[in-house]
Amino acid sequence: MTVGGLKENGIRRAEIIEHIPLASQVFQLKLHAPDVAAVAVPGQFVNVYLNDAAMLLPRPIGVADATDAQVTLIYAVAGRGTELLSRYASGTCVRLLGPNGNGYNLGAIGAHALLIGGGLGVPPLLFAAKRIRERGGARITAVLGYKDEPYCLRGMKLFCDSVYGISERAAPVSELSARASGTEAAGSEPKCDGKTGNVMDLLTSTEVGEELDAGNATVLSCGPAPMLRAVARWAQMRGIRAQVSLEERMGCGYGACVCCTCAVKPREEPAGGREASADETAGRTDLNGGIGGRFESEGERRGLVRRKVCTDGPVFQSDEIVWGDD
Amino acid sequence: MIDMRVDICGVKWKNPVAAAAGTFVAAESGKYYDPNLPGAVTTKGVSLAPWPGNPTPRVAETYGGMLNAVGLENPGVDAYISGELKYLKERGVTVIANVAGHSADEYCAVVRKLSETDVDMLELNVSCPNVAAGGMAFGVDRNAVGELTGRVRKLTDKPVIVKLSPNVTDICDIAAAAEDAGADAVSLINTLVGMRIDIRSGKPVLANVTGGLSGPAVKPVAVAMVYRVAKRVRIPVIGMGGIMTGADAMEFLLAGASAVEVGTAALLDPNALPRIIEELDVCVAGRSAAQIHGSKTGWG
Ligand SMILES: Cc1cc2nc3c(=O)[nH]c(=O)nc-3n(C[C@H](O)[C@H](O)[C@H](O)COP(=O)(O)OP(=O)(O)OC[C@H]3O[C@@H](n4cnc5c(N)ncnc54)[C@H](O)[C@@H]3O)c2cc1C
Ligand SMILES: Cc1cc2nc3c(=O)[nH]c(=O)nc-3n(C[C@H](O)[C@H](O)[C@H](O)COP(=O)(O)O)c2cc1C
Ligand code: FES
Repeated sequence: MTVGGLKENGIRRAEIIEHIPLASQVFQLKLHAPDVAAVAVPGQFVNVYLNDAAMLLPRPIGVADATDAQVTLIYAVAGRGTELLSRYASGTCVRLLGPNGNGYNLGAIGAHALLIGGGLGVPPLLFAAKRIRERGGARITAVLGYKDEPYCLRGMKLFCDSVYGISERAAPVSELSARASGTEAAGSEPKCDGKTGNVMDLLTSTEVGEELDAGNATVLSCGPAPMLRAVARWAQMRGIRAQVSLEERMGCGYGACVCCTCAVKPREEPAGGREASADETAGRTDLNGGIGGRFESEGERRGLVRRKVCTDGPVFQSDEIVWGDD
Repeated sequence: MIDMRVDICGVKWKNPVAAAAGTFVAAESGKYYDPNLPGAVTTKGVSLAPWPGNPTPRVAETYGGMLNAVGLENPGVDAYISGELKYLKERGVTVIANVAGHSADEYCAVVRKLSETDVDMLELNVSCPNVAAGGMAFGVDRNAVGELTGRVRKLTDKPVIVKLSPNVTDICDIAAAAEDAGADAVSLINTLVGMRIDIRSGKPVLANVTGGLSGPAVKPVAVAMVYRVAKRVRIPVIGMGGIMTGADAMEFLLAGASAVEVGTAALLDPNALPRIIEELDVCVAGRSAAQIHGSKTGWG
């Protein structure tokens, strides 16, 4: 809706409803944000702005859940801004813009959804698991890696048919299963043989291998870039389609600064799950070749296409990304 | 709402607030406000061929501002003309094309192509600190600015704005060189060269090592430069640097600017332009033109 040329979809204030620690330096933040909650899909993120003039840039945080009027974010203290955020009590308002970007294309998922998450990449996949379960029709396996303590395992267990967790450092057996048990879960107990390691160790384990329905599998992944690259390669070798969510430093988070671009191979269609509105599609087509759009002529011949992580992503098809060492 | 129309080198703006180059993308900014709302919009620096820009990270946070080192990633002038420019002109928007180049010939080639379009004004970006050749290399040398402006002047009937770099010994000299060579206006300031180092890794935060500082932190520097340049040249001065509110914009007008551009504020809030225009409306209410352009009428 437009009021005097101004559209009602800008930054809004969102009150903190609940703010609790999930693990050491990892917090769950529930915000009252009905407009965002109504439309957010898994893989999208919001810009969180801090109430501090020394920290003006947005903090992009993935949506971990959206129900009723609430948006859940799960984040780690990673620097000054998230440290300040972690001290905001319930009742405090933060400014919020979103949901931003294109999420996972849940419609493209076959009979087997394989969710592969690393660390703070897990929360967005929790939201994906929930929505895939709601849609029905797919078996869901989650393969999750953590640096230390795990989180989101209970939720994952609710929505997934099987959950595998592994940690690089912490005593994983007791932690991983203890935190996960005690709910009347639909899925199985999280599986963990007590070894420490990373997501790729789990992914290449025999248990996961036995569950894999490669012909019908779709990978949804989120996590650190080296992990995503390894997942992309793993999936490619098995002919499995993978949707990965990238991370990049952002100046605006809504497509205006061109700070967040990544190199991709030319592609036909966007990977994102969010259906573009007619208005947007019109803008996009018209602007084909516009800023952040497809390079034509010279660039195209070199296969050079740059896309904005904030608006064209953060979710991309893994085979369209030009990985660092390609 | 009071009449805020201004005439900048013969081009009518409905108010004196424009979007600054590199911070406005029609398809994205247009999701938040009608691009027809500002007096004009300046589009991202455009070069002859597509430029891929710098590696990432391209942005870093600073106290009261940000550093960017985008490096003028853009799809090239042909794609710009058939894409962004066409889209905006179809909607009746007053468009300033920000022109980039690695060499004087390249700037001229872009200007030649743009002259044949319905773009309203050209802004020569001789002040980008984030590209190895061209950009600021021109803007810090008064002879180079004079020569380039002179060459461009002969190529086009479009109003030519020269965008000045603050990274110089005396910005007034450069402004005067642009004026003498036939510029219709000058705009300032582009970003200040800056750098941040991550003490954990011991390495620069930006992949490009250095970047351009913008945002509220630069505003006093920008106001002072606008003030000095406006006293030196007779052509209109378009002021920018750290404008976050209507009151900030008012300071620039009082310093002698005929109009302003808003950059970083729009990145931090997609609705900053409409908000600033409304706030400025309140600021100018009840003031005469002489009171608005204080410095030009002689208080300093
Ligand atoms: C699309 C997307 C989704 C994300 N989702 C989550 C999530 O669900 N949970 C979570 O914990 N983290 C998430 N992140 C990472 C999160 O944005 C950063 O950890 C956070 O911005 C760090 O802010 P800071 O002020 O604590 O750090 P500082 O280092 O003080 O931040 C300085 C600046 O750098 C930016 N920055 C720092 N680290 C990152 C990073 N890794 N990625 C992008 N920008 C960064 C900040 O936003 C800020 O502008 C996501 C990042 C992206 C791009
Ligand atoms: C992300 C970013 C990209 C920019 N790109 C351009 C550009 O392409 N051409 C140009 O002349 N100036 C560019 N600038 C400079 C701005 O137009 C403006 O001169 C400067 O940022 C100061 O104003 P501000 O503090 O309001 O942002 C850019 C600035 C930013 C922050
Ligand atoms: S963060 Fe500004 S364009 Fe993506």
